Amino acid sequence: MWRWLRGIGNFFRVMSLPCESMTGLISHDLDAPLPASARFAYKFHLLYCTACRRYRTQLTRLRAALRVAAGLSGFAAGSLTPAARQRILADLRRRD
Amino acid sequence: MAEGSDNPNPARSAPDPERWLDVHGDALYRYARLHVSDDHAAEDLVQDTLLAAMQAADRFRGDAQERTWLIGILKHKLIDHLRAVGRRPVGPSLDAVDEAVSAQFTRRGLWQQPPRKWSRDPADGVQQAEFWDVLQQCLDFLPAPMAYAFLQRELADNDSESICQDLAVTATNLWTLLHRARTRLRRCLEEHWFRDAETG
Repeated sequence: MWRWLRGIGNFFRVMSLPCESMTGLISHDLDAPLPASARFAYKFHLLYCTACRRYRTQLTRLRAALRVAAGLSGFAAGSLTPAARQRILADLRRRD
Repeated sequence: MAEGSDNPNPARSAPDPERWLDVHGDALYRYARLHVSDDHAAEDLVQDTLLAAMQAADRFRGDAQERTWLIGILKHKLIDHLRAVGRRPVGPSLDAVDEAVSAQFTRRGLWQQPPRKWSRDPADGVQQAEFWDVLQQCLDFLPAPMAYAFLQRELADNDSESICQDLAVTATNLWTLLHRARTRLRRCLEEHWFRDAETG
């Protein structure tokens, strides 16, 4: 009887895992396997929470895109200004 | 933008820092600038990198690509820089709460404003220069170690252990840093890059 009640209590505690903590688990899951104790709450939350599912999907897609881009030359923006290039060049010549 | 990428590993020859600057200067600068939020610091890092490379040229092994080798040196300079500016997040100094993250949630931990559906695909975004400008601006809001952790993990695909060593933090602290970085950047990118097609 008590075990049964405690079971229900745990069930609701799991259900009420706040989204803020959930994003911590989602992020953690991108780096290392979640501890077994957190896995059930994690999966359950994802089942019913569109917002957290979206958070996870977006981070996953962003990561994939960034990693592909990193393999290409010329990713990111910006270049050395002519002035900076001159300054560095002068310094290299001085130390040569 | 494709400077020298045809032949990033020319035959071994005498160290030629001027050519390095010519061929790899912009790539080094972009790498540095993503990590530090100011142009001059990034320029200085490129300069320090080339000077260090000049002195260590005899240790350059021809089997590593020249640019990879230079980026490796730049990474060391970058870590020194992060430590020197005193923002090294050793365990206890990591704030218990990140206001920029907790502001996205109610007091009970529910989404203040749930993530919206993104109207553009990140895979297309990374091919556009404006995306990188926006990402750069979003990264500039992050504390340096947080930006470093994010870039090393999500862009460079380095494992957690090596990033922990670079930043001298525990794995738990790194996970906290990454969670904060991702949550802040996701929101920032959503506001400045992924939202407008909804109206247009």
